[in-house]
Amino acid sequence: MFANSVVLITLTLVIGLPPLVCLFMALSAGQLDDGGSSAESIFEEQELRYSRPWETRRQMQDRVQQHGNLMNNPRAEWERWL
Amino acid sequence: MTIQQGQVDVKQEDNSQYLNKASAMEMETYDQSGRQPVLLGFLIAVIWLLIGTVLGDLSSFKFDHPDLLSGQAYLTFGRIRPAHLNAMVYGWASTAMFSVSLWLMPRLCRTRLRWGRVASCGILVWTAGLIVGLVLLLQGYSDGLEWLELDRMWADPLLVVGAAMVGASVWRTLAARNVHHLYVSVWYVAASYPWFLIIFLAGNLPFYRGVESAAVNWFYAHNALGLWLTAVNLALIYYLLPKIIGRPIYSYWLSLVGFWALALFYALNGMHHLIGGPIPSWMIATSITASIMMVIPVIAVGINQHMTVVGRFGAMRYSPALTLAVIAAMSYTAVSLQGIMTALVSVNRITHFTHWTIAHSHLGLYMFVTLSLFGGMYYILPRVLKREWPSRRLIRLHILLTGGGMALYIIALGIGGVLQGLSLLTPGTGFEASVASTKPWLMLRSISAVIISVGHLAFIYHSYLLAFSRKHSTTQLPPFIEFKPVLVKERKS
Repeated sequence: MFANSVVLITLTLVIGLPPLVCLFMALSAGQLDDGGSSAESIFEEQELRYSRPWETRRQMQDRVQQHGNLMNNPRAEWERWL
Repeated sequence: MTIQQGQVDVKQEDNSQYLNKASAMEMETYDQSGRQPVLLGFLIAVIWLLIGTVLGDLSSFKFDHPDLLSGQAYLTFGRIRPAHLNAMVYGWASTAMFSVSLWLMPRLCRTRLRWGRVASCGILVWTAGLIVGLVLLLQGYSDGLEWLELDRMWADPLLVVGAAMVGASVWRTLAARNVHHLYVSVWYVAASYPWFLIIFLAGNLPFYRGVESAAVNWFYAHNALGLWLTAVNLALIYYLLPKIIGRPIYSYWLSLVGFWALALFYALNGMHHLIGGPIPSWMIATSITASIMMVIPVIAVGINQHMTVVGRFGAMRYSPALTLAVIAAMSYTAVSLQGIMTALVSVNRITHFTHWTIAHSHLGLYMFVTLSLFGGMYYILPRVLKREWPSRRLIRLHILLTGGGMALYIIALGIGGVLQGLSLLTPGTGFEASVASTKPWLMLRSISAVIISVGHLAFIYHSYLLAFSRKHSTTQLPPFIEFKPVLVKERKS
């Protein structure tokens, strides 16, 4: 029974162990520190200030409070659609 | 003490660089750096989508009319059905995922794409391998393992080399990054390439026999879904949702929990496809346990994505990319929970060897993977081509036909599969009765396949117009603006 499983156990370890090593490396490199700024890293400058037509008044107020006065997206048509 | 001071300085320097957001022009530079391989990948993917759709339709029609096109051996069900699967998984989805990866990495690493020509060559080598494999498959040369039918001598080496070349470009770009912290999408994309190469090579090694071969087959097939198709598409969704909505992901920590749980615990899931088979019982038990443990990353991803969008579903009226990404994200949660449920022995007893499995796989491969990739293409192509999609009617037609058609497909085959399973379990009832019980549902599946195909044709024609037509877009309104929101409060002026 075990002989039939050696291949599968080996394969699973080949897949499963490197991520474990990577996890420790990421922890020691500080990759998991400061998640907040990581989450914001995908946005371009001013992008969070663009007015979004679907947002409620409350959501717009929150955006103004967090990011400053709202702006119209000055870019091309497809970006107005987002 | 000096060393500690130095370490602090480095961290502060990296962080300050990181907090500077990219300008729109900078992003445009990154987009253009990968223009050639990204467009090449999408072009080839769309061609495979068309081929895979025709093969899928033919396979479906053969259930309603078994003698249809059966005069030629290469048109028989046993060849066309695996050709459909391989064209869709390796041709359409994987090639489009190459483009998505090559577009995402420069943006997230804040650097231009490295080794772009290597990536382009990789896409061509991959495509050559797939063409060779499919021609051989239609001629009757198959490795005989599900998801691994392509010839291991002539086709698979080309696929491995192709994926490795694209992966090399991805990893070289990662190595040249100008950011310290990696966004969660980078983790998913970067990990997916070595994962795919390991499982594909392992799955195709020629020395497995009997039960061991079946076990490795499902080790590959399930991991191809979870560690390849899922990884890149979750990366895309984690990018698109916050980017379009205009707010960061609800919990960055939860997104990392999802990634690391997938990375550490997914590998043993595949054995649940062999419940009832002649393999060691501990292996089945371990697989069921691992499948149930998947609740953790699935719920983590589901909650995170829902909480990011909640209160802003109205944005789906404005953005086709978001509409598709949201449906894909919901489908990911649904198909994962369905998969976990199907791994339970009492459920598996009914659904195993029935059309339920086909419905389940289409919920994953189409409603999650394909709709996510359509969303990605709606978002990426205008930015790379610097043109707008020409017609909002074609966008609307495409999304309604494919989304609606596939919903009908999954419901019909899901019901048909359960009825088939119950019939098979009824003592004293012949096998023929189980076949008869599925006939109306298979007919409904064929109808939905035609609906989906029309949606694909609309999308392919629209992509052609976007790429080659000189006519500028006259679109003034978003495609779904007339649709009254169900989950959204109207803004009071």
